[in-house]
Amino acid sequence: MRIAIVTPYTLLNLGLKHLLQKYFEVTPSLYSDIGKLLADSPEQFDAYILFADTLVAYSDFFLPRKSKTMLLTPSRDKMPETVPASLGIYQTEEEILDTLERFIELLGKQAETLPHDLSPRETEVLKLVARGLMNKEIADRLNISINTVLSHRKNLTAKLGIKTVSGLSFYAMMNGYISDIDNK
Amino acid sequence: MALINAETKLCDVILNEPSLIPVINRFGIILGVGDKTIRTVCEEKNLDSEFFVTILNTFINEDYFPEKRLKSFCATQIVDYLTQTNAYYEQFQIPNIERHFNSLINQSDSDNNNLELMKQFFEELKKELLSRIEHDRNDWFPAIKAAAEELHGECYAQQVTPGLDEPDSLEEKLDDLKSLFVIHLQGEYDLNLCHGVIFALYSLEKDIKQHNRIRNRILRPIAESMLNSCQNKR
Repeated sequence: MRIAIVTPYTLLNLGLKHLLQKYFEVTPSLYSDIGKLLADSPEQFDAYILFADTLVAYSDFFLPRKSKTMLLTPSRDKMPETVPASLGIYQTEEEILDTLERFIELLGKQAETLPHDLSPRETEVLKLVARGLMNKEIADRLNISINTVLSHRKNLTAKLGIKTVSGLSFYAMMNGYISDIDNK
Repeated sequence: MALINAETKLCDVILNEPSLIPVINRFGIILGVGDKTIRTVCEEKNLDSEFFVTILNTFINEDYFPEKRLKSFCATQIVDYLTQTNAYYEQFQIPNIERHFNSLINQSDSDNNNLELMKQFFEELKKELLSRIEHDRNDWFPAIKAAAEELHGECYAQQVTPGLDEPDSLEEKLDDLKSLFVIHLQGEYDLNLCHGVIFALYSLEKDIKQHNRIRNRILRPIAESMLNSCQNKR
């Protein structure tokens, strides 16, 4: 799981990174300002930790990702339930760990909604990728848009844990989706 | 593990992090290191202790990558180190994985063609790695060394823009091969030999990641700026 931490406070960023790495299966990436995150394909992350002012200023990006966003809050009071997950920066270490644990569990639940088996369409895309077709050719062949092809490929990688074309080809051969390497 | 320095005893470092053994080998140090400090060992072996410590630290701590300090070393020193890591892949790690893979296939159920296919995938990866090493040895590294000579060791690091970590197809393929083992392996196979292959793959991957960081973020930008200034001089 990859989490982007976006605050201008180096020590705060490092502290969160330390906790996330020490206690959770999380790869944190630190950004001292939002511009750097936005320039670094921000969609790649599974979650975001930031202050409310950043969320408000870039609501176009963060509101659709509300369930994946955790707000840092300088307030000592409990936050109302309507806001996304929140983490008080004055909390004790134990409370912070507890809050992070619940947030990460929640993210895990969201992620699990992706079924593990390949859909028939994904299988078709896999076969064509394995035969060495380019995304454009696959789109033409299946009569779908390039974006749809890309999204199928993203799902394939997420479900199979395999990223490269050769890796996918060998997976396809191992499972009998294509017969041998000459098909490539 | 905490960062080490020149006053740390080399034996303590290795006892804590045995994966460094092949790294110290590249500097001509073999086991039986005694209880000397890194500084003493480096003096005896005529090594730059600062370079040695920096390389070990980047290896121990995946998060530690002191770009400025790495760029302060001369390009030829970095080339020599990367040449040694290439030699290690070529002469030791790749043959080692192959040996394990072959025994795994020989000892496993012959109906299981999964392992054969994974071996073929590894062969593809090996071909890519060897051709990169070949290109380093015959073209890139000699060009950098020639440029360093021509420029009489002028320092280029200050003018260099930071290099980027490129998504590397070797790293990605190694990752995929690991996934094929861990997530998708089917059928009957010899468990112990399978561990052997996976551990060997992990150790190659770790080494290549370190190699690539130095290669892409340090050597590449320095080399480009050196080669450019050589061209401008002509």
